[in-house]
Amino acid sequence: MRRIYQSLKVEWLLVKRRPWTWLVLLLFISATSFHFFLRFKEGSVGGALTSSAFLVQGGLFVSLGFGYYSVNLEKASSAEELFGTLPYGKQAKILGKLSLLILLALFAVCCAALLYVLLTVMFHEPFFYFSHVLEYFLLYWFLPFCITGIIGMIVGLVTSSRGAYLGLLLLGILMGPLNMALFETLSLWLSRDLYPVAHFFNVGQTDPNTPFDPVYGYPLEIKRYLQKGILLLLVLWLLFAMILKQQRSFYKVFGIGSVLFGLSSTVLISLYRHDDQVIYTALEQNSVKKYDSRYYEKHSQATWPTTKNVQVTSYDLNVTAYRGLAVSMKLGLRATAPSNEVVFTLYHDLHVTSVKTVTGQALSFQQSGDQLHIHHSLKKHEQATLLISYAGTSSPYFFANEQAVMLPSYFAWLPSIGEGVAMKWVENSVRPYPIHAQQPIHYKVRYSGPLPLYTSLKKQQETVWEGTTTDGLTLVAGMMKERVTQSARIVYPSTLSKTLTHAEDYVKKVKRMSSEIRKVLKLPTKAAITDVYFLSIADESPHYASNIRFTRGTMFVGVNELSLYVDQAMIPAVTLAVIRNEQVIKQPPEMTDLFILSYDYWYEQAHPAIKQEEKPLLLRNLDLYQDDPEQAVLMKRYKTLLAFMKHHDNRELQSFFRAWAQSLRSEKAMNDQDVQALMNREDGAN
Amino acid sequence: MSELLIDTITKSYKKYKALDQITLQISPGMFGLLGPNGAGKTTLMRILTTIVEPTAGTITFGDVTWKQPEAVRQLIGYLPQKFSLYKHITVTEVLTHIATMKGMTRRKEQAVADVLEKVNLQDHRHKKIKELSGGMVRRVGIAQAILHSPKIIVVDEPTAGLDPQERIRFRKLLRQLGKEATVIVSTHIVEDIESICDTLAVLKKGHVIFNGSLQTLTEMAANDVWEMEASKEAFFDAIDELDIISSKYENHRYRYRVVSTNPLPGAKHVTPNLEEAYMYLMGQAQR
Ligand SMILES: Nc1ncnc2c1ncn2[C@@H]1O[C@H](COP(=O)(O)OP(=O)(O)O)[C@@H](O)[C@H]1O
Ligand SMILES: [Mg+2]
Repeated sequence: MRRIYQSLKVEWLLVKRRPWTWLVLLLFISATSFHFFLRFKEGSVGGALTSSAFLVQGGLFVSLGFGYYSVNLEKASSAEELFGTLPYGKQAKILGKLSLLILLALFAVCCAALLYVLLTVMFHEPFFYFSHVLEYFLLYWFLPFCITGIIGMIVGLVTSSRGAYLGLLLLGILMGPLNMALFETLSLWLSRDLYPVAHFFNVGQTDPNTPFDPVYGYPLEIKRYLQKGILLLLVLWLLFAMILKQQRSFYKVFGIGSVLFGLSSTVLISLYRHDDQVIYTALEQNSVKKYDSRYYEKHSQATWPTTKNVQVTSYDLNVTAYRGLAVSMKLGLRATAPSNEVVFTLYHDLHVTSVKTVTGQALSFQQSGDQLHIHHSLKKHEQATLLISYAGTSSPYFFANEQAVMLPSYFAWLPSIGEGVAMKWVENSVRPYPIHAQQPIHYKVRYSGPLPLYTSLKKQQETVWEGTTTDGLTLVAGMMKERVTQSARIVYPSTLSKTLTHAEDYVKKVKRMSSEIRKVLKLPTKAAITDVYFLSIADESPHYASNIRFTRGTMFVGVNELSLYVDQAMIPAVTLAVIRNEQVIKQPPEMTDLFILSYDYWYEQAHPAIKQEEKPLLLRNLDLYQDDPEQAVLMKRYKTLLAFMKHHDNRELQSFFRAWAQSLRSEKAMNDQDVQALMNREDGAN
Repeated sequence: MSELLIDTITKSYKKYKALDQITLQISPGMFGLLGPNGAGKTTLMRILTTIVEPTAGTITFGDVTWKQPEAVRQLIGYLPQKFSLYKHITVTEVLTHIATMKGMTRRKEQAVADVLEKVNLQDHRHKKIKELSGGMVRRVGIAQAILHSPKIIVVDEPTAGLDPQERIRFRKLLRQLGKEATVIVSTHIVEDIESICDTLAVLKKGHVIFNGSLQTLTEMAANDVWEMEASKEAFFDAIDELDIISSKYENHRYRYRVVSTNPLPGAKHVTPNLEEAYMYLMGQAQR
């Protein structure tokens, strides 16, 4: 110990006296403060960390270089032989260097963390969930620096040839966020999904370019710790093997070490390979952007017809969110007509393990796509209770694991009477179908999972919630906060507490706008909105803001750190939210989109008070695609509609849009002729 | 005091034998290891200092065998052939560091002060290594080697690259070490051995070709060394034919010494000096 401490001291002396050390440290700190400052300034507090990949990548190169340099110090100063003859000299030296590496990494990371704290104070940002910030620094800064530093040392111990620098450079790329570019090319080339490999070796952040998800928080899943654990174990073992090699009793110690290493890495690797939900945002096949989209592109049809004569009356749930979602429940049913089967909609990656009656009799069931088919005969008005258990990974859009839960009521995470398919694929994005729940359902939820849970049910005990609602069940747990205002209970990401100060105002506006649109389109008036969730739900269309969704008394608003709350952008989102039903989702997307854009245009014309930051979307698109031959059909539609809207007054247009919305909300699929017919009708009426 | 016993040590690098069955018995005092470059001196020293493992053979010193390198490391002090230390660190700092590394716990400062005095570097103790001359660095090297008063001190080519003045000072320093320890000095410079050592071994191509006292070596050669004189022209003619081991140019004539088993015309028997004896030995070994 003394020797290690002593060599640590000397290593420090040596490093301290190199101007390089200070230069690199200064560079690192100034780059970090610059980056953090910019991010804080634009209100992206979480993003300040998750987009720090290039800093980390730089740090990885520095660590590799430092590790390499430090073990070659003796070689460079011709003192290597000497330390080789001192009792345990090399071992003490290497351990001293390792300690210094760790201390320097710690120092750099502490500086960065301190900067973060400083800026948090400076920008009056809230301090909630600061432990997550520290965890992030540990997982994505400190451990990576240590791992690559040790790799640098190993390289230095193996070779000190010129080629070593090239090797370090390649290792730096392989082990950092830069490896994405490498594996992207490789994946394309070999047409195989190599991203899991890339993720495994990447000790930095895996998706540095996507905006921070304020509900999900920093990517701190258990799997990421396991990955770092495996790598750390591997490099430490390699390093110790190299130290032990200096010893004559090498083989004995080496043997024991190998066995220990083998055992612990097997455990870690098997834990790592355990099926669980890790959120990757961009490129991988199971990423948020790709997974559901790819699935629903191929699976758009239900296997069994939807049950019509059975209703769910109650759910008594045990929900566990840990590396995935596990639910066991007592499900209350009532038949409105005789039936021998019940068909539920349930997201396909939630695998049912058992279905029983209350008496314990196992019922046969089948899962196909998003459907769960249970053989169970019910007479008219018969009530039944089923015991159902299932577990698996939820959709990447609607995650549930040890780090966060976001299960909105309109997503089929509970076996419910739904559309038979959970979502519809539309141009590389998905639109979840609503759940059919016309009658009140009684819910009781026992929850064990991360962080405080937010749901609209009443809290009975520490982990038990209960209530009756027609609104479905929404569970949210993450870095969230709750605010109860006069009009509604608002649940929102805590990192957005500053940007969401005007949330109430926003909610009011949405309410006003939606009731107005509802009136115009003569849609049934809605129950008052009592719960508002600001969540990281995705837009349902790439063409316009579509981040708002209603269930009966609940409103969901999709937000991220970079969300801009522009009134103009609210119009399409609210319009879609108002007209949306399962038929609207089933319509050809271009028909829905055309309606939304036309309505948006008209709304803006009819409400000159709304601040126009830009031209209405319809005109913007027209400017953009005017001369694009591929968009010719679309442009013709635009022009026809614009001409039509110019020649009709508001009363006529109201009736036009009302009829159009009605058509969209009905079962028949619309086409251009239908829209033309609607226009002709108004023309004829004139 | 114990003797250092080197028993049939062989060291092969792939097929090449850098050392071939070396057996030596080394008593306390100054022991010289003489041989041309590439003879295997450094290899032997690195084996003695446990940096490399021999391919075959054993080494013991009293109860300690070289099978337990950590025990050996407590015994030895080593000044490697190409030696320097961290450039940016002061003499005292580095010596204190090495003292700790050697496991010295108490009286470290005193020990460092003592060795600095022994090598006469007290005045430079706060200088960084990069500010010292080659000779001073070498003396720091000795200082660190003797820090923990080792029983065996191994010094590889200590005088190479030093200027004559430093070399003489350094030899004096080495000589003093022999009083209390077994000191093994390797060199390819005969003069070093002459002024430092009591006994020596001569290595050539991995073999010991001589092992004994300085006197024995000169006596060995005594019968076969002759001295002759010739004009410049005659001398250059003779170079190719005769085995000339030394020559001197005086008064426009060459006086030179020749190795020959047969008497030569015009030559007279002389007692060779150590260098000549060494040359003689190397010549003999060639045959
Ligand atoms: N690590 C090595 N690998 C291969 N050959 C070596 C190695 N070390 C030394 N040798 C060879 O062994 C011979 C003896 O070298 P060395 O012990 O350094 O000689 P000396 O110190 O007497 O000049 C040389 O021919 C050298 O090339
Ligand atoms: Mg040598």
